[in-house]
Amino acid sequence: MSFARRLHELRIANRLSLQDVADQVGISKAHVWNLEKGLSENPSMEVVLKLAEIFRVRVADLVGENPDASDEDPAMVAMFRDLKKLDERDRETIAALMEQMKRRRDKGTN
Amino acid sequence: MRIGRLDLDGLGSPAALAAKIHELEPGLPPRVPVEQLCMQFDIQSIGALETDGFEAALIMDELKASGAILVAKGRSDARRRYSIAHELGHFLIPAHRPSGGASFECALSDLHLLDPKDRDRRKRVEAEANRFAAHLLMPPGEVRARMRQSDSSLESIVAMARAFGVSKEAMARSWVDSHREPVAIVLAHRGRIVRRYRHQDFPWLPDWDGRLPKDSLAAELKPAPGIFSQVEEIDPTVWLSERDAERVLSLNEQVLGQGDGYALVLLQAERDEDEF
Repeated sequence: MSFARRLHELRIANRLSLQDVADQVGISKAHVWNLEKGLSENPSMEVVLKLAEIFRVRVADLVGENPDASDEDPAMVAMFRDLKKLDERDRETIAALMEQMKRRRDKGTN
Repeated sequence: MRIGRLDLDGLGSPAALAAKIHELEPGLPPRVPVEQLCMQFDIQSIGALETDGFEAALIMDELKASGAILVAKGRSDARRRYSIAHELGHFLIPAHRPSGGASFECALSDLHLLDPKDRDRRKRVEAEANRFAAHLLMPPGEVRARMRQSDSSLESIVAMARAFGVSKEAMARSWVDSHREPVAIVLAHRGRIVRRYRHQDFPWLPDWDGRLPKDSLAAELKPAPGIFSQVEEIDPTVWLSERDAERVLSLNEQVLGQGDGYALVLLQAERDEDEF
């Protein structure tokens, strides 16, 4: 699981808003949002330490066992349970759309 | 329009999310520009999909950084708008996250799941997305305000559906929810009851073998598409059980003929307060 997803899940499990976390860490709400969405660079160690303290978890639990490893790209999800119901053209449409979204995302984060 | 997802921080319930959107964008017209709102909330595109297997789909990355909505081709404008709002609900409600590689689909039948207490997670999730869509496209306060200015009839429901840009059935559902009196709406197709929406104070509607009761106005008149019947008082035992019929002073029925053999039936009960 990526740092972004862990951060989001910890925040939701602790019933905190983005603003709550931002206030406690001393960063902006938008910064917390970007960290959760994987839209910004890895946070500074200072921010990670504060986040670990807020959620009462080990730093390793937050950033993963190997903080130098880059997180994998977040998987794309099509909200269909059974793709067999779609014809080939529809599948191609979805695949192309996912590819397009990935490219946009990469452009936005690089 | 300046609203964005950060403005919805800390909100989780479908109704609260929809209410916040209307609070922050007070100038929205009755026909809510749902596609424009989608763009404000990081939905990158809304496209069409040639399938009958699904009404709509949401494509997104697992972090919900951005999304795209696909809607089945050939749907009416009202149905398309509702589907888009429904998928936007999935995207905005924080608890709606695909887990363990399982994705969820919105089949046509899901658009009518209305009990948010449903234990089955998927059904609950779909009901929540429906609730968001209903509150976004038909804000309860606005619905009640319009109800105060109109009579309690199918004509009023149809006029409101047109104003909000939603289907007659979706409007009827919200109308029943917002009503202060015991009312019910029944959707029938070629004499068979398809769905019913009952105000909490309206007596229980028996199954009647899944058909319109034979002495009901709807079964007798079978009005042509677009034709409204008069509102007529009817023997309560036609629609209600003997026991429940004894507890109402009167029951009124009105029916609207629709295309392809469909009909919308409005029932309004006047309760005997001594019995409650």
